[in-house]
Amino acid sequence: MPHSGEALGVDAANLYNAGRFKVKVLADQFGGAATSLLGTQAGDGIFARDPRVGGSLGPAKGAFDELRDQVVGLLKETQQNMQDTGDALVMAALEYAATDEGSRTAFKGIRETLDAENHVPPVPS
Amino acid sequence: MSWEQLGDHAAKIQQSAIIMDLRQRGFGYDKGRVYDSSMTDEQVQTVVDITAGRFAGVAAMFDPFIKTADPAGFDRLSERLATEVAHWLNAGQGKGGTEMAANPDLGRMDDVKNLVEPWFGAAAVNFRDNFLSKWPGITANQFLLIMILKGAAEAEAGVWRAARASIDDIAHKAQAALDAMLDCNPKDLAFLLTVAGSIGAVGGFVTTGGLSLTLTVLGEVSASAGAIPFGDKKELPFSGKNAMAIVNAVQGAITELIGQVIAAENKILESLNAGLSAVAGSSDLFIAPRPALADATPATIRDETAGLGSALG
Amino acid sequence: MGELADRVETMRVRATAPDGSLTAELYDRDQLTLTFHNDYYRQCDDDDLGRRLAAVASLLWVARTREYERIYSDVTGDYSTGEGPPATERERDWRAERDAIEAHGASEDGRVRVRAVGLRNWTVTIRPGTTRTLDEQQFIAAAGQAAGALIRDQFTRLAALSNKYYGNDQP
Repeated sequence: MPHSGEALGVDAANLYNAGRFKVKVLADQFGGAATSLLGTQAGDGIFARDPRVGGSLGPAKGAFDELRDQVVGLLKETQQNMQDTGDALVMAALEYAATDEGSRTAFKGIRETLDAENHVPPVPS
Repeated sequence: MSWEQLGDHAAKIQQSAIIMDLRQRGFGYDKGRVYDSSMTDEQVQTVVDITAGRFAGVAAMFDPFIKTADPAGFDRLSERLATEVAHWLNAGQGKGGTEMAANPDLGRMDDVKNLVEPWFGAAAVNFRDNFLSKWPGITANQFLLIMILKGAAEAEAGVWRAARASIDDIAHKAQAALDAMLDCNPKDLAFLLTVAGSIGAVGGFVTTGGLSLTLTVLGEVSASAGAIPFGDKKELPFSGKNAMAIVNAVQGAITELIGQVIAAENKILESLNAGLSAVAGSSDLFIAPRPALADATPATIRDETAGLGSALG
Repeated sequence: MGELADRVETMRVRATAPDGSLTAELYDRDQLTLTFHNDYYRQCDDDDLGRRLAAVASLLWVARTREYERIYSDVTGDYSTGEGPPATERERDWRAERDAIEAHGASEDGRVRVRAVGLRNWTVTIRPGTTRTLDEQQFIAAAGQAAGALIRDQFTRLAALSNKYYGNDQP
């Protein structure tokens, strides 16, 4: 049967934990990976050589760029999906936590512990 | 000798070829001056000019390798792809023959599965079945694509390191052959071309999840343990008995070297193209569909069909 | 010229007669100097000195060949020493002619004459009366001139032979 009160507060806190400290953390890492990958195109002068040896940038440069762009796209899309999902989980947690007094209290206590564990400053009440 | 001085060496080889050709024909040579007791200075100069003309293009034969792609730059690219990109998606596969730290945070997605366990609204089910459960496989496949890029960079580094070493060997041996040409025992030497043996397949990797594709990650043979080289180093023996024969052997070796570089880079192209075809043909192996949950709003979140519904326990 | 030529040009080798009477040193490709030990020069006669010089010349050229091979291996990475069997008829003929090259050299005053066949068999002829006429330093200079002339003669003949067998024969 559906939860309410303290049990619901615990479930909501789990959603909060999943969204804020799991999914969004990884989303940020994927975002960082995408940014770093995109950043590597700045050094593409390394392909340049005498055009008599396979053309001025060589046979592989075009495909390298294309695959890199594809992977940047995949990582960014993954990041965006995780970011939005993480936000939705946090939003859901706050919605469910507001259901009744019992859920509110249980959620608040667990959230404070989670925030502290993850070095997040306490929310002003 | 080293590759950085190739231009100087090429000029020296041309000059040595001219001098050794003249000396073989009996002209004296001392401190930059060619002489022959039976000729006037003008006559000698004419012979010198004709000889110089015959060897006029020798230094320029090395031009295709005076400017090369940058192996150290590819090393840095490969390193960045490993530490700044692949690392974040690495669950410990250690692909590519390279020791690479796994990202311990990837385990957080397993935690998520437990944390959302009590929820059975459609968005929760969809999130679990279509996103979370596929996530490790898709992440591994994305990691594989990054490793293809990293392998390409490593292989480019290997190709150009070997190309520089090979052109250096050609210059070095040509000069030594010219130097020894009129000695008592001019031996035949062999140019050593190492590009074909410099790169290879680190392995064939099968993508994870559903229909599987085999992709090849390349590597530099000397850097990646277990890499299977595409070819062998090649020795091109040549006669060191006259200047023109030495010069012609140089031209042949340089043509062969250009061919080896292009062939090796085409192997790199193949590996990259295989990655591109895989993404184009089976994109679901490389990206999970956006979870419905991502678009939930406070108005829909409690909905049993669009949201998480009620937690059950 | 390249590293090999530069190193061969500047190599130094020396050899001492088995009885320790004299040491010869070869440097800068065709420069030779002698050092007499135990007052040998003042006690020797012309023929005896000639025989000893021939023996030392032979040892010196062996040392030179060994040092050349060491440098050659170092520069080219080819560590095979000596000559393998000739690969062709032509190569066999070239070697036979090379080993038969007879090179000569004499001092400017003609007192010291050196002859070498294939750089193996050496004969040094000293005009009678020379050791009584020239002091030690004068004799060393004369011997150096003769040796230098022989080495240059040898390499001129070698170039001609190389041209005969392997040259392009172009103007």
